[in-house]
Amino acid sequence: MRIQFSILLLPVLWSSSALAATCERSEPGVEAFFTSAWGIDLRNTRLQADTRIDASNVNDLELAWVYGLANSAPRFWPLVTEDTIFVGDSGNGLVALDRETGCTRWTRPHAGEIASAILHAQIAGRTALVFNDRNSGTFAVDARDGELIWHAEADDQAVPMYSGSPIIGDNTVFVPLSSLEIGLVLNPLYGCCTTSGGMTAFDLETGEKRWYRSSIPRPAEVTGRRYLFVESRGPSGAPVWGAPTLDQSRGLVYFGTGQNYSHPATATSDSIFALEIDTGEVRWIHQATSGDAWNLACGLGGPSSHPNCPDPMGPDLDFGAPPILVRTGTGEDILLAGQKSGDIWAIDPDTGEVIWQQLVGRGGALGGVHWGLAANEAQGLLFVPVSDTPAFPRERQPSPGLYALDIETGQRRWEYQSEARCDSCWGGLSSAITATPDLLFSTTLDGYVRAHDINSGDVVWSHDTWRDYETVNDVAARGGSIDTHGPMVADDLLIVVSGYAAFSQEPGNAVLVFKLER
Amino acid sequence: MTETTSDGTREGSGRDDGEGLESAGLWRRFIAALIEIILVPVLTLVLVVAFGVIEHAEDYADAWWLVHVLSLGVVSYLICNGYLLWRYGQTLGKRIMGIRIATTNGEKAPLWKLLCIRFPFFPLLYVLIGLLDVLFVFTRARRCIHDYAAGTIVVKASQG
Repeated sequence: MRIQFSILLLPVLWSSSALAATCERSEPGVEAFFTSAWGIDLRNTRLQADTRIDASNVNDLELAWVYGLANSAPRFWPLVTEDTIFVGDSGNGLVALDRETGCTRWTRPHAGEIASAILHAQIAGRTALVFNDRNSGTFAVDARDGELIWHAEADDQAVPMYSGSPIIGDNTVFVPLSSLEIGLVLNPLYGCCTTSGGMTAFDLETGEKRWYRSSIPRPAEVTGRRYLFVESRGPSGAPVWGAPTLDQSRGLVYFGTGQNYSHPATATSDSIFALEIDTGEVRWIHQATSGDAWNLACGLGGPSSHPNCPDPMGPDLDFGAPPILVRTGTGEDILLAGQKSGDIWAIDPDTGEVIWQQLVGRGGALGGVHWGLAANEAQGLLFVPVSDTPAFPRERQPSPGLYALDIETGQRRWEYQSEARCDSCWGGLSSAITATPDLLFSTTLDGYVRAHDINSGDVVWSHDTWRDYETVNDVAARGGSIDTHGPMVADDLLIVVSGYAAFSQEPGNAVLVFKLER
Repeated sequence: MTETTSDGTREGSGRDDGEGLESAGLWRRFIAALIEIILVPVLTLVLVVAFGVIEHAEDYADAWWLVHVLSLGVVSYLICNGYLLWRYGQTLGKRIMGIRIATTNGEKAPLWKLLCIRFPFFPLLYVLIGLLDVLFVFTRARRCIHDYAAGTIVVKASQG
């Protein structure tokens, strides 16, 4: 009798579970958005003013619900509307979740890796979501049901990789490009390397290419030969890993580049570029580090251990973090850029000349500064997260933590040292950070989410994500290292994606949605 | 088909398998297979390097490089074994170990049967399961064949 009752109950339990996961209304509201770009705004300040979370109520933040992702190295950044949160659940799809309960409005199946901020735009009267698949290009889908509007790929390089977030402005989608060659080099029979990074501009309405600008102007040539047949080539590399920054008043798009993949090194690697928005023509280039040639083959022991590691091997000091365009108290515009070396550069956006330079942290192949800075112009502060992960470190003492610099002078205002939770952990700040008018939200490689006072750096709220979570979609979820795009703040929400196992960090798959409870 | 020593002597304790023939000893067969397991992939590798089919970024823009590598695996097998198969119904390893492939009547196996029916199993073993499985990691999806089979994916990743 008990067995019969259980059997009868099963469909009831199943259907109630399904009802709990699927919203009654599938169509998301798309009237209100809280971000315009990866950097919150087109200037990439990462300052979120459109929030109700402030220093007076931050301790009222409570975990509302958790969504379990299908993979343990997520690289998306969510998008929030008045009633929906869009997430990139790689291996499952693009998912629209109800803001209040986490129930699913719709899922657009997508087998690849959704690896960027999810952006919004108007395309022919439809509200569209725009995002990058890391391997297969840029997608625009209808926000109401996930229907594909267009899919665009860059065809100027053989193996493009779409690691950086696009940005949308002037009816154009600007898409940063890196190259799969950085990993192909692990094959010792591969003749490294011929491709370069770059920027491509797609028409927002159609996805058709408007222009493309390679970060290396000249084609690669044969530079050597081994195993009788395998030819080494160069120059190559200078990938663009981070989101571009739009300066609509000057008509410029700025972005940073990484190191060369092979010799000869170029004058365009580890640089900040300024391109004309309309044509992609180069206005100026500022190179921070010269002679830097490195690729993943160097991780196997250097030039003596792998034929594809450049000799001499460079330090791998990319600009992974997007530049920030800020206006100082005196009305001057400054472009601020953080490098994996730990250097912060203030650059004249008209000429590319250096205004000031400041070093924070030790630097290394995973930062120094890795994913992104934030700025608060009203306070005159630039906030700098420092990872100092011990991966090809520079010969200095590590100082992982958070730093506040004066925008006009680069002078250090305060610093917060981030201690690791255990001997085998690393407490560095690799991910981007997000500022509000009076708070700063940071996340750490050992799984903490913190809110800091912007005047002192003191922690005023925190949450430890290294634990198991029950989820709204019945996928077992666990927090891990928090990396990549960092915290999303929008309205009364704080959203954190915990877990990132790409470089031996702690895996995890939890999308944590915190909400002001009062 | 069965295998006998080339001088016709009985070997091992193998069972009769039609027409009174006795199969070749397991060790001879094993060593013959080992010779080919080493020789064919090594020659494939040499051809892959010589023809540069996995050397350029353009090779990885689509999946054709997999077909090229597989084709070179077939060519390697035929280079190692083609003449011996045609002339004696033997592979190089079997020739060295003094065994041969025969029909259950003890006659030399027809070349078309060796090539069209028996032979396709070996590239599958040597190349598809071995080399290609590993090389699949360089595809855009970065999943090896065993990942596809198991429905898994290896998490990696970076800016910078």
